[in-house]
Amino acid sequence: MIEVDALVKVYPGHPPVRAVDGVSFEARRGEVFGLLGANGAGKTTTLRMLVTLLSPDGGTARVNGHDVRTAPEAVRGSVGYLSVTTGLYERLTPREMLVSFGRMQQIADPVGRAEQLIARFGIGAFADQRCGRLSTGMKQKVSIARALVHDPPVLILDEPTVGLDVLVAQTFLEFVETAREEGRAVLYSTHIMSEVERLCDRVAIIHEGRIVAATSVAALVAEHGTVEKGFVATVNGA
Amino acid sequence: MSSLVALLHATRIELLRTLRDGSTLLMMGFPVLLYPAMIWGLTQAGLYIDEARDRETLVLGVADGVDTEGLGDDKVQIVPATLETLDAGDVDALLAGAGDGLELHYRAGSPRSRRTRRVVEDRIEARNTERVDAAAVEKGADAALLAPLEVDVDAIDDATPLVQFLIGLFACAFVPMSIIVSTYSPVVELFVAERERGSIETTLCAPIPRSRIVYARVLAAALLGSLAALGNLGALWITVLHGAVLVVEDPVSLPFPGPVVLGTILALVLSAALLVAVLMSVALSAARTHREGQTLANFVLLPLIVPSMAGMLAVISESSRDVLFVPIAHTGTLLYAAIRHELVATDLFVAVGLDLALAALVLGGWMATLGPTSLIEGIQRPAWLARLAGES
Repeated sequence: MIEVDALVKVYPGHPPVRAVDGVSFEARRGEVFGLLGANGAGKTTTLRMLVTLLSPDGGTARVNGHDVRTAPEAVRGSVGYLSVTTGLYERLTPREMLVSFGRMQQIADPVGRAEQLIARFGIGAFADQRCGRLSTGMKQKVSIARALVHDPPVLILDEPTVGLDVLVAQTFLEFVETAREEGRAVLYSTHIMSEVERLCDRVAIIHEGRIVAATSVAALVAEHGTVEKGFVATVNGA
Repeated sequence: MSSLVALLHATRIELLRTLRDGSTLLMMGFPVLLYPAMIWGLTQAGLYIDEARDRETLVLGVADGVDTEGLGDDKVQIVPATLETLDAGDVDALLAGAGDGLELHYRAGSPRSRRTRRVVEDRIEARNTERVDAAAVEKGADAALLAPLEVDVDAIDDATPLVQFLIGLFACAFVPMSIIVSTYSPVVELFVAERERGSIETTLCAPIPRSRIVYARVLAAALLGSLAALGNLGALWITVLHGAVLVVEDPVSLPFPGPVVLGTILALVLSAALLVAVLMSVALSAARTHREGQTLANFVLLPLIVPSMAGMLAVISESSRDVLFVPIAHTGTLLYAAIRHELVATDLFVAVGLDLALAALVLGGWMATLGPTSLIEGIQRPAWLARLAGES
């Protein structure tokens, strides 16, 4: 579902910053693939290239069979993207937001789909309030519903639980587990190791723009005791 | 879904979002509220002045000529009086004291207002004149020479051309400015606010061409700017019509513009608003926050206000065609011409065509070189531009 091969991103500057330097990995259908790294390791840049918010300077990436360079709109049509900065339109209500994004995504019945998501995520009670007036937890539910409005086969989640309280974060993690059960490929970027242990099947550890390890969570735990220890050992040894 | 339908849908959403922003609405609607408030204030002031004039000293006198105009006070016997005391014997006393061969005249202060003029006419001309004339004739004055002096205000038989002139002149001055100011606010809201709030990725991740997002936002800003400008024009129209009672005798009825005039106004306003929206969105691509947007917008607002003023000066100096090839300036002059039913069709095509061509050139050129994302997400700005924008 997600195939990344030698992806490169260089930010201009004096000197230029090679934020992503030949990253390669693959995430499969029905799998939660963790992308782990410290702040500034290159996680977000990689994900932003995969959702076509940035264009790569080298390498290739395909999402659901679509090349991020040559078919960016098809890629965006296949991906539900959620990040800590993925805001909502504050003056639209959740219902308006879902319907309009459904229309943007050109789905057959945007109104019906919106109602379906409103019911699924328990948004009904505040579906007609403006998003700007919702609590963080409510907003997160709407964001998730918005990311799923076109029923994407791929979910790309960039540190999605940052800033959420425990209960909301718990609900979110359950959503990710459900997404895996539904057969979606989930690329999950985080530095919260407990989430990795709970959710991820395989992980890639990125450090200074390069993949320094790619393994299963089970193997990482078997070798180091915990994901956290494995992560620290890998990064320190890189 | 066709591209046009998709564009219109995206535009509708942008309009919906913007129309729910209180500050944007205030910015757009303020002039519409301002004009009626202004005319209400002026009318109240006029009434107050009229009431004051009721207590004003009128000038009555006798002179040795038919017309007191140009005569010094030494040749005119002045008797102060007021409207309230005219009936109390002042006129009789005046006549009694007038020398032989002098003729009686009255000069009704400064009856510039419609109300005072009416009072002068009703109370002096209709009643006292008869008494004055009779007494003067009795004393040997020539009755034919006893016509009252004319008051300062000439009655306007047909006020329509005057009202059309005033609406046209005000529209020429204020509507282009209204377009500029009213388009600025939605552009900031649609382009800059999203960068500040972080909802930008939500938009960019939607599987629609980025150029369509830009077009939808520019179109939405232009429509809102046009809407505000048309509201502004409507308010001007009503204000001038009602305010005309301050200078003309009777209420003026000006027929609502027909479809041709309306279409012309719409074309002029929309094309100008599109051009302004394009220039604003390009200028604000260097802004990251509302505050920076306001700072950078000044660099566009001020240069655009200059031609809007030039349009008004061209109308006043009757040289409108000199600014036909100057965007914004020609919006004002052609609005003036359209309201007065004097518009030449080729001028309209030239002006609208020029606005649209410039808008297409700037927007198309920008997107071809820097890409549509640069307008949505903002450009990678050099340090000097960040400083210019007021980056903290």
